[in-house]
Amino acid sequence: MELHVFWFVLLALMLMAYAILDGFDLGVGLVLNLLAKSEDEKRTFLDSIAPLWDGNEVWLVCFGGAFFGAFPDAYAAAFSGFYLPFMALLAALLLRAVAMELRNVESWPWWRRLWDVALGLACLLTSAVAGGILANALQGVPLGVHHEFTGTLAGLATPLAGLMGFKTVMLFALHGTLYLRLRVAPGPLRARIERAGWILWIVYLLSFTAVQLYVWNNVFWAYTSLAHLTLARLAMGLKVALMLGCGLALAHKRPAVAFLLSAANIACLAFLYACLLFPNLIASHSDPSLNLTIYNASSTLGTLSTMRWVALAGMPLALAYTGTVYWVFRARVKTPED
Amino acid sequence: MDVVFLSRLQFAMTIMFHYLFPPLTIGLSVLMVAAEGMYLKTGNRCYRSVARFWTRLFGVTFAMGVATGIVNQFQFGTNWAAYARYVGDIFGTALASEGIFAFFLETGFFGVVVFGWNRVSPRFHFFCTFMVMVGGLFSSIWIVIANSWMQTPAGYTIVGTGLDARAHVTDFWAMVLNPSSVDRLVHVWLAAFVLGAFFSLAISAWYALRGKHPETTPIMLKLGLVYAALACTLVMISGDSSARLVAVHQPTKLAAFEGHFDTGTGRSPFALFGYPDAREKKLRYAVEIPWLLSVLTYHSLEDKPVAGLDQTPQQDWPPLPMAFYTFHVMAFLGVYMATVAYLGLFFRWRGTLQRQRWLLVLIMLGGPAAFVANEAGWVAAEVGRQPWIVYGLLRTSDAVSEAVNASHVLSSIIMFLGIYFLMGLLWLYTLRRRVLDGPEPVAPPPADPGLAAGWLASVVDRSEASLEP
Repeated sequence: MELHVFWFVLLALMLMAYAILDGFDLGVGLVLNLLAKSEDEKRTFLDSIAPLWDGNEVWLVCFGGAFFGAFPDAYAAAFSGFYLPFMALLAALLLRAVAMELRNVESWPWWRRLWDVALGLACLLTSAVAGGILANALQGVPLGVHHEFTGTLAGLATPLAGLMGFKTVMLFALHGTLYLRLRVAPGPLRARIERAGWILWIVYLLSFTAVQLYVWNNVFWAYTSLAHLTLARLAMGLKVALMLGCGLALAHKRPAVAFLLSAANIACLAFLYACLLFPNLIASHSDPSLNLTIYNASSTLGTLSTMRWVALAGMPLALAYTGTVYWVFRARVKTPED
Repeated sequence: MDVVFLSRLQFAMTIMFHYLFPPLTIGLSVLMVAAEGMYLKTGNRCYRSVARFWTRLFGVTFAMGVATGIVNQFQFGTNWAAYARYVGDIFGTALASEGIFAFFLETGFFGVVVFGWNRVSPRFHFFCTFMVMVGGLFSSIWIVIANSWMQTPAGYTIVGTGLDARAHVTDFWAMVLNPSSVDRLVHVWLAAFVLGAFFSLAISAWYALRGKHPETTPIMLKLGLVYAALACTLVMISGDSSARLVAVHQPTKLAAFEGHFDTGTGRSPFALFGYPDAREKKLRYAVEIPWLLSVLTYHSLEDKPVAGLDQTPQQDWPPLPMAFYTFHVMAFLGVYMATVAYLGLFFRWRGTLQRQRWLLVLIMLGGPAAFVANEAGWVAAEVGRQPWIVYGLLRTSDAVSEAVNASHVLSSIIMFLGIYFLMGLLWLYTLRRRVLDGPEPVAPPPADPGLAAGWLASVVDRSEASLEP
């Protein structure tokens, strides 16, 4: 595979892995205050992600490092251009970590409530901002001739950013709920989780439809080449099938299948997004010749090639470690452990 | 206030906060491997108890390191976009390797080490602890190589000019093994070992002073003292070697460390104290040891001066008092810790350490000293490089993001202050609680399922701590 394309694909895969894995951590945080009523229930929720979220976040760190290395000009333009959104993202990621732990420092009800709400807000902010940033990269932002961002913060607050932010929140909430359905033992809590799963499934379908309608009507005109249109259409079809399958699995009480289909749905979403974006990394909103593409924003071929060897050697190992941890902690929460 | 100053302030603040944690986890992981290995070898459950105790403190710290690490990586893009474009080709491989090789290794096995005591066999657990140590050491390799390239660039060529200038790799291994990489990496590792050793010693010395945990405290003191004495000895040797490299590749930096203004003739003196006055161009209130700087630099008694600041135009000088004081604080604390470690080992060998309360107090003070020395060393290294962000190639003032203004950075600084304050309190609080709990008794009571939750609290093994009063 051509090196620039290889790195585009690998970055998309890393972001996809992050969305699938940390997606359910964020989702658990999103629904924590809505579904878990008692302290025990909250602990069940938090215990289900405690040993995993740290490792899941590494996919984001890895994505950031590889993005910097493979496409430094796009990395610089995106991160400095979206300065405040990225700072909000960092604040939210830090706040999530802090809140999950601070809640356990004291047992006063108001204290726990405070940090649980903070955790929920942190997860909300993370998901919404991530969706908004992706929307802007797709839709195009003002770019200068030296590959720098020339727009303003207010210019980033577009309708599509809002829509995709909302959709991402719903996506992760659904994903997290399906994860909880899998990890929580039978009982009233699980029944509540199941009902919430249905509601989120419907809201997610609606919000996804809204985003697609907006994208196909308002964004596609900006692209001169739609060579990937067929692929994008296929991905759309597959996505709809996966979502329907997810609903069927919920109805037939097959939580593992439902969760896996939800993960596949996120993968499909990443693929769809990559199809729409390729070969751009960040589009210019006015002049296609200023687009930051995988060719004009990349490192040298030599570096891309060295990095490819690093990735080919390292990624199988990374997957092996991740697999080991998930295997060791596969048991359901609240089953006897020791 | 301008955006360069604020961006530097923010980077200094966030990286210094971050740097409290990784060297500590690297230093502690070596102790954990040692204690767990001793347990497997001897079957003495005291070692297991000690290993589990260090692992709990490690867990608290590790999570903080991961959370604060993302911030630094993102800042290369958010605040230093011009720099990110300039060095992207060089940094690329380093940062990608760091993530792919080291972070997955570390966090993957970390989960098993901290949460998996009762889920995997002791041998597999030991293997996981060992892999966490390896992951920690790996993770420091790539970032130190990237930083070393900023100090002593090699294996590159500059393509383009002005805003379009980029450093491109021409020789990968020359870039990786640039003149200062290996020396600086070794120095960073050894300094992390010193921190791990004195962190553990400070806690054990406190237990010894209070007469707590009589079964495990002597073991912790013994492991800690041997570790500290070794690490302190090696770190001084590596420091000497690093300083000589600085003399060759960054003479201005060494002159700033030493407040050495005039090259003069004959052997240069080593300044113990003083105030480097950039306006008067002299070291005021100086207390100097004649000859010593030349002797240390050249490792000979040859009659030869060390290059002073007068060899460099003044606009290329780093901020002098900062470079001078941080370097001296690091060096003095290094000597202090080495002295304390040797004394501790001596009295331990005589078997009278428990009675030397003055020494136990001095050992305890080594804990904070090790943190300060690690931070001061990095500040000296980075401030001494100024006004360059890439030595001799790119000025720090040319490296900031064009799209970011001062009010943006000010607001993110306030945000980080708030969150880091909370995180710092949380870390101290959790450490305090773990230290007050101490190592578990060697014959454990029957398991009682606790209710721990959350990423730090779950670090306490479920069988031994419930957070509810």
